[in-house]
Amino acid sequence: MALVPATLTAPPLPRRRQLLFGTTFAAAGVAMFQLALVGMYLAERAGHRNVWLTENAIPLTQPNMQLGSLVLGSIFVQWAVWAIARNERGQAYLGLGLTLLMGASVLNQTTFLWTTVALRMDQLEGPLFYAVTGTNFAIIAAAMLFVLLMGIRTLGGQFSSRLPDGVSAAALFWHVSVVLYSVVWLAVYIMK
Amino acid sequence: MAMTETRPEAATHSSGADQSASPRTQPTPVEQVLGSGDHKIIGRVLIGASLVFVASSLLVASLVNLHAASGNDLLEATVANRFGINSPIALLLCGALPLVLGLAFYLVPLQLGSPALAFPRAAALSLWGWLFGAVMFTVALLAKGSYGGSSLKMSLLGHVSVGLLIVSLLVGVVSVMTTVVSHRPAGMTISRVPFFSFSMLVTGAVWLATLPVVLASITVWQIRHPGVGDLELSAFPAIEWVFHQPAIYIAAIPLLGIILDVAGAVSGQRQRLYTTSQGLIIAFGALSFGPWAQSFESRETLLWVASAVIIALPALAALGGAVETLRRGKLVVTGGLVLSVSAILVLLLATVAGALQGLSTVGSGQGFDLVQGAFGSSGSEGVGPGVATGQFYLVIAAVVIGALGAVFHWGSRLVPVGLPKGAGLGLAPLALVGGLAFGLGHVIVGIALPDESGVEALLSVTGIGGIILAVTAYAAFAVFVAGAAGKGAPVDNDAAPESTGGTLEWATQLADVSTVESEYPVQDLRDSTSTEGAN
Repeated sequence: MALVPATLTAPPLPRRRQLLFGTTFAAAGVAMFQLALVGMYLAERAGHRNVWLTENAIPLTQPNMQLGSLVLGSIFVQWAVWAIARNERGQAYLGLGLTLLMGASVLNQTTFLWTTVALRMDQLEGPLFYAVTGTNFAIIAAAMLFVLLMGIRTLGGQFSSRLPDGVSAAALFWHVSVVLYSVVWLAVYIMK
Repeated sequence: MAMTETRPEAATHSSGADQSASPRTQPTPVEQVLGSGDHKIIGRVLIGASLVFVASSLLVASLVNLHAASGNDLLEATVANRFGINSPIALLLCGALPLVLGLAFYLVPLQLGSPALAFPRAAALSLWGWLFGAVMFTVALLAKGSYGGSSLKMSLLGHVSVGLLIVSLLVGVVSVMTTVVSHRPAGMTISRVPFFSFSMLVTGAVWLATLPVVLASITVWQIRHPGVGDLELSAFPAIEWVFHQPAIYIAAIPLLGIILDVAGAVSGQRQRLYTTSQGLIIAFGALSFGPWAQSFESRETLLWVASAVIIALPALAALGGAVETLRRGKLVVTGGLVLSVSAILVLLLATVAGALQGLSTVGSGQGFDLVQGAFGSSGSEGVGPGVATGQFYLVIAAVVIGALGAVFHWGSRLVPVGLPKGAGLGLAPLALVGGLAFGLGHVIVGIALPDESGVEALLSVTGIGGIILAVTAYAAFAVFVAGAAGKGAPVDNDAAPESTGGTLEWATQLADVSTVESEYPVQDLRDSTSTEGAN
């Protein structure tokens, strides 16, 4: 059963949880950036409450569907983590793929929402609205790219039950992006 | 486990003999630097470049102060205003922060016994991104741009380059933090991490909580398509809080780690109450968190007053701990020791200036008369003298002096032949005098409220102090470059134990240590056991 020659030295594995810790720190910075933007949005809105979004209407259908899609994505990506930790590769690929699908639907809905709301940049609300939602769009796109890259590396055999860190890190960043969206959802779309 | 999961590196390794027929061309020295992910090369370049930038920024700040001292005759009003507004940005983002980050790039892996930084390509990206941003910022500043400039395109270039500087610094600090957390050798718990590395972990956490808020403000103003007036009168004031307490202390957190490491190394004694000392660093870092104090209203609250007064305590206690360690051992006076102690003393003066600002707001909102000061936007003076501006200058001076202390303390590791001890001892008095004069001139103006001639005299002191500190930084850069180029008598590291304390780089040089590389020994044991069982 010894398929690997005894003389062949096993290559060193990456440092323990390096990617996971790096992702945690990067996600913390990203979260502070997004939360700061939301704070600026709220402060600006509080100063112009009587004129804020009086010319435009934000529908709730897309934001609610986006939140649902992202939460589903969280479940799918966590399924992928569970699967890779048990070497269930097929399930892991399916989980990652479904996560990407959810992400793509969120991005699509965001662009549709921008078109529907039709805020102009020369309006008072415009720059901050697009700064907050655009940053969230970029964060979700980055999370999708992370999931995609980790999926490709998993296909290449780099991640398994022995080293599931890449998939776990991508899942962590995805979860952070969902939490950040929920803040945007509440602050921008619900508390209008 | 299936054969298909054999790692590609192993296959490459096994067929290495076949590749010997076509040896790869050796990269040139320039290629080695530009394409390197080696933490030593990245660290050296960042330390050297930031020394040049901090010295140049000090000269600009000095020029602005000498202009104000000369009755506004030295520079054109627009130039003075532009330099006055942008000098704190240059001092902080082009000088102080990258200087400590460069030290971390170089020293943290050595202290932990790790052969590399975590995410070395990200660290390289941080270096080159920062350098590009710093050059762009300088070009914009010199071409009538950045905040207070008259050219819109150049002003926007300066604005964007500040964002690039922040992103680059954040990428670098993530690399350093991850190194501290995941590159520690077995047995080295977080509570045993050397002080400087630990302080960088705390520093990174505070930077990650602070700098993205500045970046958010920059992003929003960029989206708004601002004019030159907007950038000067709205965008810059929106980020000015980072130059005031408590946020300004984010640059000084590593100083506590440096002084504690240096004291232990030069005395040959272990720091007592190690975990408590780490707690002091955490306390200083926590009190440096400043995004909550952006508005003037938030700076007149009890929380702000309390943090302004209390933050002196961790710094003072760290100095006390270092002195106690020095007393127990055989004291060896080195340039690194004198400089790092000087840095803490200057930092303590900055905290006193901060406490005075806090106390002046107690009561009905104005406890006693005190002038805060401002950068630029105050007419043609370029800088409005006061306690807050003096405090900023003192913190920057402390960081520069402390970083020079680290450079000379770990000099025998930073450059191949080591740095001459005499240079560190020779530069220490200059750095201390320059740093004190640079900051105290403004502080005295803010407290004593002298007449016009007194203000001009004190601003001259500030200007001259800045020039002395800048010359010290340039001299240190020259010594550093000479050492990096291999000029000078080689230093025997084993004969200079006081210069090697607190690092574990020897652990990466021993063959029997480097072969123990698996981070999953239990998993390996389980796999091997299951394989034998199957056989």
